[in-house]
Amino acid sequence: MDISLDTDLSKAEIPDPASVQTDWGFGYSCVAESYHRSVTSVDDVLRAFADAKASGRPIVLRGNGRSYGDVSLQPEAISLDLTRWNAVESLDPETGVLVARSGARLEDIWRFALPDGWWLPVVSGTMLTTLAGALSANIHGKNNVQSGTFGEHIDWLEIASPGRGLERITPDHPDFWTIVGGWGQLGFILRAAIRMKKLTSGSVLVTDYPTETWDQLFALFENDHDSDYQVAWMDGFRSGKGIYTNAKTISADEPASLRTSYQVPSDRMALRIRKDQAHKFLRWFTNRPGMKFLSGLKWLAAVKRPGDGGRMLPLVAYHFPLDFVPEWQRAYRPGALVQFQVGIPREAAPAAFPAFLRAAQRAKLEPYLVVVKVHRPDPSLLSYLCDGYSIALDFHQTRRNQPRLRELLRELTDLSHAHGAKFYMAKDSFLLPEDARKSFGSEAINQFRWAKSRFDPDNLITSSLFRRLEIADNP
Amino acid sequence: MRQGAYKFAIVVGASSGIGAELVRQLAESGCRVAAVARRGDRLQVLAKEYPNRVIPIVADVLKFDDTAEVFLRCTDALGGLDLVIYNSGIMPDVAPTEFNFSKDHAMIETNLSGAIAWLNVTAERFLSSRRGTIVVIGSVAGDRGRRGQPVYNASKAGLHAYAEALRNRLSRSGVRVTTIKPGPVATDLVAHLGFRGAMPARQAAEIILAKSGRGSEQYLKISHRVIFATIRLIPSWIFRWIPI
Ligand SMILES: Cc1cc2nc3c(=O)[nH]c(=O)nc-3n(C[C@H](O)[C@H](O)[C@H](O)COP(=O)(O)OP(=O)(O)OC[C@H]3O[C@@H](n4cnc5c(N)ncnc54)[C@H](O)[C@@H]3O)c2cc1C
Ligand SMILES: NC(=O)c1ccc[n+]([C@@H]2O[C@H](COP(=O)([O-])OP(=O)(O)OC[C@H]3O[C@@H](n4cnc5c(N)ncnc54)[C@H](OP(=O)(O)O)[C@@H]3O)[C@@H](O)[C@H]2O)c1
Repeated sequence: MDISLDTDLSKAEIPDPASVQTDWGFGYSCVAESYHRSVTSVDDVLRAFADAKASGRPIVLRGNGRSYGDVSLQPEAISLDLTRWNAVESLDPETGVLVARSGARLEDIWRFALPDGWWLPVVSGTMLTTLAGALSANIHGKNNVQSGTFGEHIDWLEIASPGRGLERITPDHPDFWTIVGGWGQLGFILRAAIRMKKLTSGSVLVTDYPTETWDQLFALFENDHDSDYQVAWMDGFRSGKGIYTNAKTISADEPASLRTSYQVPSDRMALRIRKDQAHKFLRWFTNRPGMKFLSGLKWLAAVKRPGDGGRMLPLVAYHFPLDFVPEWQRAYRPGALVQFQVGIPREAAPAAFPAFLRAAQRAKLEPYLVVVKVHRPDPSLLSYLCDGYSIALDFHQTRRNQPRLRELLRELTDLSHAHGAKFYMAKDSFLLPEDARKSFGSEAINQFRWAKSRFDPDNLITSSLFRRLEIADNP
Repeated sequence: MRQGAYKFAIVVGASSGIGAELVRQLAESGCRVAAVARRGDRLQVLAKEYPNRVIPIVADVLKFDDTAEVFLRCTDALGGLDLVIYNSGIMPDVAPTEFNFSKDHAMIETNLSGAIAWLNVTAERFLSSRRGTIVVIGSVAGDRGRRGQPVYNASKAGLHAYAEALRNRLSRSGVRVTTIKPGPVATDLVAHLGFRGAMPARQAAEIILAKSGRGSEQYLKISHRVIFATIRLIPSWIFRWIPI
């Protein structure tokens, strides 16, 4: 399609101060104010490109802000807001191909498709991620080894870019894996077609296996060949103690379990406390002794019910438990939640992961939550997964510990490089350009810049993260 | 004010006196400051003192049509905004029998209309971003109509009322509006009055920043609060005979 982006704006309009909104990274460690524009049509996107070109004011693309750092933030930019560009358009009952606009969240998609027995092939730990965010980050789930990344289940996507106008891109297109996993730097993804996964039951069989040592954990991951989902929670205060959890989909015909009413858990927790108020109680525990206590309790509870027959859980409750404690991350306020997530090759992980926890313990900055997953490499140009494991460490940043935490993050980053690590931009607010070069490789960065120079020759689209890491600058 | 309390500030009326001190102290606390005033040479001096922290923006608050654009230049250069201090003010010498409209008009325009122009755009932005602090530099002179400076008094009284209304409009959105009413401060503004015991501008700026987040009307000293509370209670027919 040939679209001209020339504009008759003789003088760029002064953007309306009443459109300025404050956006946070998910963990509240990054903030930026920008001029929000709601996208309701393709024209809105093209118009924004024209305005950016005329005014020199950059554009930042923002999904639902579930990235922890500054990958969808840019101060004083035009922020294209996806909230109203969110329709699920169609679902083919034969093939299971679902077409949605990029602002549709994973939640909108499963609510649309699950009653007919279709589930998302890959999901993040939150269902509040948008389709655009899922594609731009090329997200992975607990089934990464079995099913790969989100982008591997896409038939096509449509993108509007300043340099090339509107295009439909299929996986055989040479730029597909630069756009998917391209962090919104090449253009605005408008819609995509996802190949959904057929299910007959909306439940999964979930089994926990407590571990005492890291060796036990890696053995569990390596010897588990018939699960659909694998993940481990580890105690940040007691290295090696944790809970390995696997889950299997059910092949029985259980139409009632596909209903939304079965999937969504109650909005109350123990003592009938409303879950959306839980962050206020959690706040009392958001400190070292509190989290040490809760972690110990969680592990003991799992020891009490070792890997017997497992328990049945609705898919939604299994995949997105945190979403049912709305705004849980506010328990970290007035500080912030900073996550460090890194992919480490298989042979290096058993040495690296305990070393991470030792460093954190030395600094008296133990992570309050540690999650380990097993992976295969992802096909994105700016890839972030290796054949091996990833570890995500949740740190509590306060005004007082901020300098110490930065030192620790630097130490962890250097340790990671020594083990051949790859970093996930969805969680980053801290890396330096040389870290990005080591993680992605100079070759990939150069190729990315080449794509950027064709899709966005005037560098209209940007983000604080890409400026910080100096990745997207045209050569 | 604690270190790092503000990251991005605009000080309007930043080239001398209290404004220049506010800029210095904000910059020292780690804040980036857009320093707005007409005298570019003075702003350059500040920018040289704090390179990368102080951004000089030469502008005249009386050019009302330009306010939105200058405001945008500030926010673009800063990369964010959490504090705006409107400090521009003039107080020309007025003789006891002088009724000079052009002087009076200039005072109303600089002290009040300029504030309204700047703070309206600020309020629009803060209302939408749901955070921010506005500080208005009023004066104890706005507490009563005194024989010496009828229009200066009126301009500051108007400013106080405008700031109070703004505070009431914005408080539910998490935006704080603080009115500061300084007494005598040793600056060019009042040099011709030969005040004794005027507070140094540096100290005034320190107190203003310390009280900036209060979201209410503030004097610089407790004694001022007591004295001016009393002065406000004096009936007009008695006040008329007091030579202040
Ligand atoms: C509790 C929690 C659990 C998580 N679990 C996982 C997990 O298991 N696996 C995983 O991979 N990730 C996980 N994440 C990370 C999350 O999935 C990613 O950060 C995702 O990108 C967030 O998408 P978003 O819609 O919130 O978009 P944002 O975070 O706002 O933006 C993400 C990216 O999309 C770009 N973008 C926005 N709109 C467009 C557009 N129209 N076109 C092109 N690009 C666009 C942005 O510029 C940015 O680069 C988790 C996050 C949270 C908070
Ligand atoms: N000093 C006191 O005793 C005292 C007491 C109570 C209240 N105040 C108030 O405190 C504030 C600061 O005064 P000060 O004592 O520090 O005096 P000052 O040194 O004269 O400062 C006044 C500032 O206002 C600026 N200004 C004046 N007209 C302007 C215009 N048209 N456009 C842009 N900026 C303009 C000046 O900058 P340019 O000239 O470079 O433009 C200067 O930076 C004033 O509002 C004053 O009313 C002072």
